[in-house]
Amino acid sequence: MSNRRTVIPFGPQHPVLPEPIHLDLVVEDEHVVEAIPSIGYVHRGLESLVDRRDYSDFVFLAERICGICSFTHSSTFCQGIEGLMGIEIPDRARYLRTLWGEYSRIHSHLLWLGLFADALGFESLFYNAWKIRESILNEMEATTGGRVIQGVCKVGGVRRDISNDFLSCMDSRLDAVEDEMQELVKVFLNDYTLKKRVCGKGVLSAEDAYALGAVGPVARGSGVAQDVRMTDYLAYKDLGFKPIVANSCDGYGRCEVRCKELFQSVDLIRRIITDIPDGDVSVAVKGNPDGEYFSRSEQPRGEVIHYIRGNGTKNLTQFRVRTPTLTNVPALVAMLAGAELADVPQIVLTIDPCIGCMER
Amino acid sequence: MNMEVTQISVSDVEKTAEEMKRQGYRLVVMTCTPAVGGGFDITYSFDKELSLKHFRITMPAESDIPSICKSYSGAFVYENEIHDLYGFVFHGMTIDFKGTFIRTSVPYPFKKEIPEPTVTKVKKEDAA
Repeated sequence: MSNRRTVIPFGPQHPVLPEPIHLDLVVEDEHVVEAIPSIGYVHRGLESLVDRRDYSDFVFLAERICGICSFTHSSTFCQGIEGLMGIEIPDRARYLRTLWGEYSRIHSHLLWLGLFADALGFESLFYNAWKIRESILNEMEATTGGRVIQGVCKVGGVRRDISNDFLSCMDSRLDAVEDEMQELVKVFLNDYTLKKRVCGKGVLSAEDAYALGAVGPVARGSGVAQDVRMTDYLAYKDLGFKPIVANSCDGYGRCEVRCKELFQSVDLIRRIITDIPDGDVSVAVKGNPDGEYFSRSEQPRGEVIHYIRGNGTKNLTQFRVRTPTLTNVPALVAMLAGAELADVPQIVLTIDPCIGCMER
Repeated sequence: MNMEVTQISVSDVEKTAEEMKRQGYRLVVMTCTPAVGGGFDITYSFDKELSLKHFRITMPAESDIPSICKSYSGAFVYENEIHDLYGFVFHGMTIDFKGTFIRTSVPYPFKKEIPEPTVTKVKKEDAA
């Protein structure tokens, strides 16, 4: 045993990383002593375009901040403008935004489960997760016209309605999706090899998760019951939302939260389909935003913040976004300290990093 | 959602963060934006039981600001980002990347205080 420290670069190109992030891993005898992250490989400066676009057109740019939680970015941005201008959107639009938000969560979690299985070399599990995800993307395409970028949100409501007959069909199709997900989740939560790779790895205590500002499944996997859906935005208040938490505080806990949230989202969608009120899906918008607003929503990866400032003209003056991955970076650094070098890739994956989203 | 922002002085930043930490608040975000009357606003947002509190300092460009990493060690991501995009210097960060956290081809790309005009102005005689 020696006490010599070595710095091993991890990323920006790495087999488990679909997007680039770099970590300098300070290791001592195969154990990580410290991990120092750095980003900036895909920084696009999207926020600075806000003063060059009409606020209603900027919805399309906001949606392109991320290719996975695109819908939530557009709805959070619209919510901010509506809050600033005092616009009350119709109840049906609130329910539809919630419905598409939950479909996005299922597709994002299935995407992560597939990538995670792939990173561990479990290819058939990866194919199965993404096969189910296709059914979800098909529903998104059928109802919005887009699989990844939906373009359905607008300031004042939504662009498209879904007929009640089609909603009933979606409900019946969810049965098959739910059955397939049950089979998939059984493997993720019970398979011996998978458990060996995540149980007790990447430990983050509840105190550390809260103190470091962790959000989403990273916080909830450490027993912190924190979820923006507990506030009264969109239709969550009507639906009576309660967050899912796991107390194992490790990679398994984070995986468990995402698995259980799949079924929670299915339940929420079913209740939306049952309770959705009839009526218009948008209201006319007059005037321009003036003032500032912090809009927040719960993305699949956790809390997202859109800061919006307008000066009464059609162009906003400021727009800043804080995405969940950025705020989960300090938690990742804490998880990696003390980890074995071989466990680093799957620990990094357990925060479900979305780098394009983080860098905007 | 609470939109009330409390203006504080830069000398109160650490004290305010300590107090928020003592009261059990979580750091949500630090937002840097050009201020209406010149300089830049840095807004510190905290959350407890889903209720937000915002504190703001207004500073001239390239000022020195005390870090709140003593109270919230995770603040280093916001402080390094604000440094790399706007050029502010934070003292006492837990991890100081010295300008390499976000690698940009242009130094401090968001430092401009007033957005440059983006609409092409056409002279009357040219338009005719």
